[in-house]
Amino acid sequence: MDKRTEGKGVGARAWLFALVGWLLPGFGHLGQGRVLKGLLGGAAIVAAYIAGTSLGGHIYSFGDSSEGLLSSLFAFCDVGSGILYLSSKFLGFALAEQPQRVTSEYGNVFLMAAGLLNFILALDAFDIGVGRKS
Amino acid sequence: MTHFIVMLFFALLVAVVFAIVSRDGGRERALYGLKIFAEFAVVGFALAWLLYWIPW
Repeated sequence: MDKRTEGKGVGARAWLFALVGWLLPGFGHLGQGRVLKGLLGGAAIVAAYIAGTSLGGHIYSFGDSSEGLLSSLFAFCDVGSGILYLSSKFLGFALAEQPQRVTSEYGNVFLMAAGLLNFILALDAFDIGVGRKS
Repeated sequence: MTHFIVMLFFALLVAVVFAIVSRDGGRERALYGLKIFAEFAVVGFALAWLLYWIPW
């Protein structure tokens, strides 16, 4: 295999790990043998998501306009949680706003932070895949 | 859970992720994680008191 083909293969593999890492928090690292990183990172994302829903937070959709344009930004953050976001969306879990709960805003922040942190983890998995990080 | 405990929990989760992606080696990771956690806690506490005295 020449260097260019090899480079393409490494790039495709890195993208695959990034995608898997986004969809299943921590699995982008686990698939590359970074077990501790994957377990800790995945656990932190899942814990943030569970905390967010327990505190009364809800996920935003791209079509949502409750907060104006910010709703789309919030939706982008939420999408970062991968399968957690998708399961909420399709199972109808944590979709409704709960303004009567004092901690609902905290919950929203936890859900958004879970998504953003998972984006960081997925990018880290990509960097490991291309050999920029160990 | 009080708001402060929730904030500490948030700081813990962020510190864990930042530490594992930003540093290599167990000791460096642990120290960096502790530093991030402490910064979140101290700045959060300071801001809470600062905002307490601002009348809006």
